[in-house]
Amino acid sequence: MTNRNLRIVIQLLLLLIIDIFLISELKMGTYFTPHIYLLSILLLPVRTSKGILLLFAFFCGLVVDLFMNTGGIHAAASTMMAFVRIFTLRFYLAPEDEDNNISPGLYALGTRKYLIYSSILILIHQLTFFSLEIYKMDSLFLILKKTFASAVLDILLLVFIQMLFMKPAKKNERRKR
Amino acid sequence: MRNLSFLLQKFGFVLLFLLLEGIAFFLIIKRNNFQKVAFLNSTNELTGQVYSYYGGFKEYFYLRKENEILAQENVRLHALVEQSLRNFSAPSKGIDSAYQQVFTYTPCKVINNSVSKTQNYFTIDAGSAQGIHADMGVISPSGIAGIVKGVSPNFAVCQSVLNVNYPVSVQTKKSKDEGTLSWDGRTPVYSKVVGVPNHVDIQPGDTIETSGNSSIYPEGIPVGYVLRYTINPDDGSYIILIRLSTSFTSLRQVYVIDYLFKREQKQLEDSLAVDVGAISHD
Repeated sequence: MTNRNLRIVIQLLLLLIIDIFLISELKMGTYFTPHIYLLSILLLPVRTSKGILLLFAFFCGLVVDLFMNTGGIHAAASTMMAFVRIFTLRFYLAPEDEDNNISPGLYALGTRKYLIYSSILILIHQLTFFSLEIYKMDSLFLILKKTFASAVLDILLLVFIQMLFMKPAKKNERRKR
Repeated sequence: MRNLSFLLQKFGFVLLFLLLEGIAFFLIIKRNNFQKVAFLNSTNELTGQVYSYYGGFKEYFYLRKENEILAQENVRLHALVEQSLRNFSAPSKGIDSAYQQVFTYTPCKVINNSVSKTQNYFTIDAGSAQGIHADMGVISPSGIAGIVKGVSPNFAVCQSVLNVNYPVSVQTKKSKDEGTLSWDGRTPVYSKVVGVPNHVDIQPGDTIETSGNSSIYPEGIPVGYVLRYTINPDDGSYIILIRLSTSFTSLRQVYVIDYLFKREQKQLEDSLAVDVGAISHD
């Protein structure tokens, strides 16, 4: 179990480094600001306690805030995302998933369920982020445009990362869909 | 009592959620009061150090471009060197030097920069130990860049011109008519100038420069070039779309400007309680 925790921490550190030093350096314009550190929050094991989940998300966001001068916007957005995860994830789990304590990723959940699950959470994150960042109701349309553009790019990026760097579970463990 | 502990067990996470969001909101509100929050920005020595190592590594990728920009700047400075000096020759008092230094420039490197938010900041590798303090202007070789907001011993965080909360007093180069630069938070390449009266003759391609009455920038630092304009129906002034002369997506070398007479000017203005600088910089 500690082995798995260690893997989660290393994965988080890698994602944060890539996010802070590479993705945010790409300067893709004001509309596209994907954040790949969200993957660690998405992939936390199913049986992680709610408190740990919230604290984990909060500190992920806080680290990003420290480096990007965003005050507490990332912390607020990723805590919100973790909170929503508590309520949404259960709809996409089969009964045995909870027993196996899976990481709800692309392969473990299955493509379709994963896409819905990750889209909801990423949209929530980006919407919270841009609402707090722009905080003007008259820019509602701008907030929605930025949210949508960033979220779509983010969802695709996270799928690619999982396809490239994460192995599917072994055959006998994989569920048929 | 048992009910209470049961409730806490079941819904404690909601309380935790509210607590964490509360902390986050507290930090967000604090951020707008930038100078006071010393512990959560990259003036913080720790993140500053990390960014300065990383900046040193990144520099190598931009050497050629950087050289070109600096060479162009040299050409410009050779032609303009007298603009940062003011004629103080007063024959009756018999001052030796005809010119006295008004602005000094400290070269710095940008080690962290953002352009994609509505309030953008960048971090430079010089701080209070190098004589940098808050409210000093920052320019790049090709034009205006920002203003220092917070300093630590070796780093300073500057508010970029790409910040919706940072209006700058500017003027047209041809006729010296004043306006206000205000960014709308959309793209890092363009910005807007408002408040120029509509009797002024403006053509696409005209240069917009700093006006020099803000005691932060010297007069004549390039800001941008007019692309097109519309008339504001409310007061008949121009809304001018400009292309910024500084390329904020590749900001590396900058200069921090110290206006040596700032304290004297401010004391005088305060003592008379006049509001000369129409545009306050926070």
